Amino acid sequence: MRRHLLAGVVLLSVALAILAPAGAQDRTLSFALDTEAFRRPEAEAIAEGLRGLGVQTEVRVWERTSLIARIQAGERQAYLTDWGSAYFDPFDLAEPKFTTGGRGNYSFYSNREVDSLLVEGVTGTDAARRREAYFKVQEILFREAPWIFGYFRQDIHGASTLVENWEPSMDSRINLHDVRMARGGLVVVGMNTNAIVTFDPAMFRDRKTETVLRNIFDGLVTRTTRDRVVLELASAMRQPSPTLYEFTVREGVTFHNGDPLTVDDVVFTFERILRERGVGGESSPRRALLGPLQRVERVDDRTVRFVLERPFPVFLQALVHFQIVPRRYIQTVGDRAFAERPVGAGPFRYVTGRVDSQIVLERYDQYYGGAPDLPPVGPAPLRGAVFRMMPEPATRVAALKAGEVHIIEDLPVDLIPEIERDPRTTLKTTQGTRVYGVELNNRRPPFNDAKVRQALNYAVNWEAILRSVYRGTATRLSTAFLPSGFGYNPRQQAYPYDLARARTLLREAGYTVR
Amino acid sequence: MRTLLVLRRVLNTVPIMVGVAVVVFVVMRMLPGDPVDIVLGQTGAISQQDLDRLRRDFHLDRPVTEQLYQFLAGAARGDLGTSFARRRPVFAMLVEALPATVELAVAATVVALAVAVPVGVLSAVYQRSWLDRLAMGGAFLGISMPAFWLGIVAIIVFAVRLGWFPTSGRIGFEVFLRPVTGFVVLDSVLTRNWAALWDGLRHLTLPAVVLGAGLMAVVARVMRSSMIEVLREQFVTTARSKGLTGRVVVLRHALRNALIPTVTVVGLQLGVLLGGNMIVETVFGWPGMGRLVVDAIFSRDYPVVQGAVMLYAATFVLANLLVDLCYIYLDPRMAL
Amino acid sequence: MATLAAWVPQRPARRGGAWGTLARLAGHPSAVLGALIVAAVAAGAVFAPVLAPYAPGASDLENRLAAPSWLAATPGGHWLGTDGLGRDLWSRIIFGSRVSLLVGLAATLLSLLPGLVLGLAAGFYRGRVDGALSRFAELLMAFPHLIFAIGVMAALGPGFWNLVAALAFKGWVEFFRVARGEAMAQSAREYVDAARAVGASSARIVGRHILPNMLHTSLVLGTLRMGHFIVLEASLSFLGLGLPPRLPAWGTMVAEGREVMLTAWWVSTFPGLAIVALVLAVNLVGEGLRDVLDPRLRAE
Repeated sequence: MRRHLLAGVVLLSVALAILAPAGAQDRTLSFALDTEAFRRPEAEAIAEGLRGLGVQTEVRVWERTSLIARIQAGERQAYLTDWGSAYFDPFDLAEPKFTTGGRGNYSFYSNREVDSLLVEGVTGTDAARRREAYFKVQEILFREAPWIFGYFRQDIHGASTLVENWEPSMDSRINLHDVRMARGGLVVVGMNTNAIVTFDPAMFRDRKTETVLRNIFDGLVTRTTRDRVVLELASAMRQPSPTLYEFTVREGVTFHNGDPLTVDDVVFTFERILRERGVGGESSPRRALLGPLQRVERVDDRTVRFVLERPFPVFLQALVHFQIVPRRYIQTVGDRAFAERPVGAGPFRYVTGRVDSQIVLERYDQYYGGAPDLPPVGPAPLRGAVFRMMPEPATRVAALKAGEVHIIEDLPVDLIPEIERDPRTTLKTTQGTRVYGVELNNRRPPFNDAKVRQALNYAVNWEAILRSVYRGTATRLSTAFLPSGFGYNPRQQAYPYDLARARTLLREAGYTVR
Repeated sequence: MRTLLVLRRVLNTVPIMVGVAVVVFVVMRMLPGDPVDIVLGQTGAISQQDLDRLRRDFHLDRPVTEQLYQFLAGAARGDLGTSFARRRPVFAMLVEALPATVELAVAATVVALAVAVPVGVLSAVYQRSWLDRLAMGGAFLGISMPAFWLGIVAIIVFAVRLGWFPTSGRIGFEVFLRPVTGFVVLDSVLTRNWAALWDGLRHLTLPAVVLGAGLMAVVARVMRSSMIEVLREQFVTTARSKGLTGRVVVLRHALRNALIPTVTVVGLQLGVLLGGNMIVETVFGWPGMGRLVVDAIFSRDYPVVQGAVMLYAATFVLANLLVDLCYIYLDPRMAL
Repeated sequence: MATLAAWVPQRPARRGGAWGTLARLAGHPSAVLGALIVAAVAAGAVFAPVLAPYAPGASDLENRLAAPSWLAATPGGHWLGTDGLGRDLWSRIIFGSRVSLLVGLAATLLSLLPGLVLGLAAGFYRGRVDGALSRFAELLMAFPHLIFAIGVMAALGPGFWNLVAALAFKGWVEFFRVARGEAMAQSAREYVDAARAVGASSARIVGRHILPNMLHTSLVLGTLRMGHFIVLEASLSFLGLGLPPRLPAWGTMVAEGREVMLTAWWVSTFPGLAIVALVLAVNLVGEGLRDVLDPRLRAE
């Protein structure tokens, strides 16, 4: 009887110890750190570091979509997230991430001043004032620390040494127009994806699809391998007012089926996207990327005018991502047939292939030459190009080493030495345009307290993590603004790794620390 | 009597298919995540109109019951809807991806049988010998090493180091093959394109061996145990006593009888191969259904997942139906 | 799925009593070997903190992907090397045995028990219960297991029990089918009729006559199934739907190391071999059980 009693007491006290709310007397900071599988090592390193401070952190690995849905529902506490920026401007980064109620505002950050500064930055017409607004935002963000600010990474690709004159672009496009091969005249690219989405430039939103399509289609403007916008199918551009853009369409350009490229094709391209159900009864998911673009008009045989509802300073950056499609061909064969057999005005024409396996392109001999600012101008030196879908990193690297493919996307960082060591392969890197960080739920305890958020910014040893987990291919950010983007303040320093200050702040917030 | 049974059995498949359709419909909508949000991707300044526009396109603005009804009515007509991500008819996407998956599964089965049947027979005949033990040990390696590990090792050894096979893909881009059925091997034979046949087989070998490894193990063991049983049967003993040599007995009498359970197993296992090969497909860059479905689950492409699961279920139900029908016709008691 | 059932003897075994079975099993060399390996893994799981030279989560970022100590001189003397965070692989494998064993056991038990009970009920009582359950089972069978598990994991989120649920949610169907078939076959037999005639209650008939006969089959099937669940966890990890990192599982470790196979093969190979050893052992025990329980094989 007594023994049973004793057992009961022990059980009860164990149960109480487990059930007792954390911090009844001993207020330890403890939270769940959620991540996707690909950042699991980093998350574990962060958690391990925080444990040394007496902060209890449990890492959980999620499927991306479920995690984001739960974050948006406000159910999670701290999460490793990333957000890409294609326009080299905080327009598609800070605006969605920090505007109150913004679509990507997973931290539920809300600050009236930031909101109005972001409006100024995104819609303003005066570059100096826009920059000033963005500087101010960075200052406020740094102080209020809605996230544990993270880093951006290098995009790391592998290439065969046979590939000449290829540099990866910061917008993650693989432009093969200028590439030469030391042998063979044919380049094979191993893509990091299961499948691209479509061959129709109006019907996708992902970068992988764009990477392939940009070799088949050209736009009015394009970008250097960095962030500068240059004319491509347009031979001249004017901006009569902040809301009007006029382009002269280059003469003598033909589509792969021989049709000349005219102003009508340009108008048609954009009308397809702007109109609801404009693409064979379906709506283009790219409408939003054009921001306040209202309509596109034909001015005369060579000039096209874009009419905006309000000023949109990143409009030219946006236009880079829109490829001109052949009106007559599409109206003849239909949108669906076009997506099966795309016809563009780019340096390569589609020969055969499927979105989920391999896509074979060959040089378009009548190519007008491409952007004059990006020499060499003229038809592509390559005879052809092949894009192969290879979702497994180990397989991509194996294929590169076996000589089956010549360029591979997204090399795992731990294989960098292997690729460098091999005389037949080389590393190609460029600055990435994606912000990685740990977002905190600012609306719920414990992270509704700025002191706690700041403390964590001091407590994570990013330098060590980036050096080891990412082998030094990542760079620390002071906030969530990219150095490649407009309005970045290079003088703002990141939070230093400072455990003493982290401890002080945590104690001030009422937590016990080690 | 027999006709009635057959009819009943066939009609039985209808509620199962409807059930599968309803379950997959409900499960997909229970997964957290908004398909429209995913299609629109990460960008700034998405307005409510942009979201609404796509939501209308995808019919996600309709009440769920109506969506379900539309889906069921469509599926009954063979219309599985349009993919959210690719905006193509799901049916066309499945028809395109299915041959790759089936071809791989069939090849895996062929490889598995070619290895496992002789191994199983020998293990049974030379029971408890070193050969038997070695074969059975190998069989366990086949089932218990995760397929992606086997696949990557195979690629590193046979494609990179030895260079015997290509690392991945279904056919080389240099080989032009006119598609007829979508099956590379079949098409190249039909069009007498021997270069394509050779290339296709080279691409097929590694993934087929890796995918077949599990089945190989299972078949070898089933073969072994049924062979052991058969060898103990009366008629084999009789045959032996009639003075027939060991090899003749094994090959002519025992093997045929021992193959029956093996065939049953393989038939059922084919369904498992079809539904479980997304990992091999990913590792070998094989453009099949598995990858399509996993991608579709992750991007909440409801119509694609629904369509694919319906297709998997239909395959399974059909296979079962055939087996049952065979029983009905073969079992003499049923003839009454 | 159905394949595994085909490995299992279909005819009823003579009842021999648990001790008799065990004794005969002890005379079966490969079963003994299997049992020894399972025991070793279990011991590793229980005494992990004592046996493991390092804590499973102790990372050493300066010493990542270190080769096994017998291949190259590594600081810290990690005899199986270290993983992508510089954690000792041997220690992680030892601690991983806890998770992998538990995943296998929990998923198997959660498949076996409901499968057995429902299968018995369906097979013995037939009628409407049987109809509904069988339909439902058939419906689940029609879903590919991995796709189903992916869906369940995506819906429930990460976690040990969520994983077990994802594995067992469909896993019970197989046991259900076997149990139902056996119950139907048994209840048609003379001894059951005889028991009925004597006035034995249904519960008694099930408990005394049908259940013991079925336990053998289920036990063998269960041991075979367990290995499958352990491997399936690896597949889910490959797809990014694994266990929380707090629980180092072998499958997750294999999946994590695959990217660096070309250079640091040990990271994913050693945990993989651990899976092979465990699955092999469990199956050997299963085989042994089958041999011992199958009267015809025993007569030999």
